Amino acid sequence: MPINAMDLQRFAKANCGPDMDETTLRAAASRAYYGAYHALLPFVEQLPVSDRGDSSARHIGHREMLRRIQEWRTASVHPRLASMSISKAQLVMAMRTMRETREVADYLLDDSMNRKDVTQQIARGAKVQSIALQVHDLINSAADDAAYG
Amino acid sequence: MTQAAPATNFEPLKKRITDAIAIAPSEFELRQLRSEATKLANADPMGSVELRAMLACIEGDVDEADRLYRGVFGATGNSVERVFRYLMLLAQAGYSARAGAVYREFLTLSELAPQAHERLAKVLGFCGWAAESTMIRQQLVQTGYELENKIFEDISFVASEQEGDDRLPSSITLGALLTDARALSAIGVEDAWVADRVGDAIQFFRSRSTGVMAVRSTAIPHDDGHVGLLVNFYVDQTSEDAAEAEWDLHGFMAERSPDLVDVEDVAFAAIGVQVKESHAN
Repeated sequence: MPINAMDLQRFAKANCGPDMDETTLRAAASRAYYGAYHALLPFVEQLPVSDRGDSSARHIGHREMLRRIQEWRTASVHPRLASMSISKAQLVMAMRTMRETREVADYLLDDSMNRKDVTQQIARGAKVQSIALQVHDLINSAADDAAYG
Repeated sequence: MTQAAPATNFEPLKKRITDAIAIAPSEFELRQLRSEATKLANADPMGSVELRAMLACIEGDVDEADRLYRGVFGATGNSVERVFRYLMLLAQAGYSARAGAVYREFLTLSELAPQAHERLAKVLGFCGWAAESTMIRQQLVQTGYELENKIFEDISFVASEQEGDDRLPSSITLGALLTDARALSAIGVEDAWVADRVGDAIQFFRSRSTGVMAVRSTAIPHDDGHVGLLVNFYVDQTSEDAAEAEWDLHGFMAERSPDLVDVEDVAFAAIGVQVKESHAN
């Protein structure tokens, strides 16, 4: 059964309770990142390949996603996106923070990760998902405008 | 060695001023504190000057703070305790670069006791001098000294002067710090660059009256072979409020230090540590 970005975020929230062990908390931190990643993916797929990106790549990797957002070549997606210069920087830095936290969760097993770290990652993910939704709505409103002339 | 302080109003006033560092006090509050610090001059002249230096720092006049502290050092000798007070003031006020300069000018590692090394490492770590802090810890460990693997009591003193503030995550421990000069070099940044930006971030949180209780920089090996640096600011807020503060911090930093956006592998995060729980579960 297919899932979506919200399902990943819901999984993260459901697995961040006070009784969760660290393995589960780490999984929640990781899923929160992927929830944000997948929330942004439909938009990022519409952006041109970044200057340092590989145009033959079959999927958009973590680094390429951030580079596309940072370059913000949105003219072909929606002209009003161009004015979101601060939001795109915020988005880049928020996703970078989520990614670094995910790297800690998945790879730095000697480090410790607790519920506060994970709760924060989930709150951060919710913020990114809300921005992704705003971008999505803006793009779709343009499509509606075009459809109805 | 702590100098014997005269029995004056110095300590309670210092505490009130220290509490005011993390927030943006009103002009009225500052005027009152300034007046009380000035009144102290008869009973404790050097204490009075030091308190006025602290207030100058809070008001953003770090050059005046420096001039006053140098006057105190010149008159009384630069006691380690007083230098540490100055360092912590600069750290909490977000003047990381100045804190690094003061440490280099007024403290000599070979003359400090091991506990002072550890304390210094904590303060420098709070300022964002992560590699310098790690180097001091590593040298200390090589001498056989056992690091205290506990909460950054000095660094968290904005919110609490008590040891082991249980609002802080257990992950903020000395032993967990991994960042050294080699890691920063792999990322393509230097200690001073990070410290400058950490200072900017602390000033941002101060401008919102958000207490920064601890700062932790962690070098993180990535699955694509790169190395990242995650700087966590532990703030006295709920996770939701901290998420908003972090979003605004990123906007602030994008304008104040646009190169932070350009460096791909450095991330700044706010971690809310307030006991009040979020709606996350």
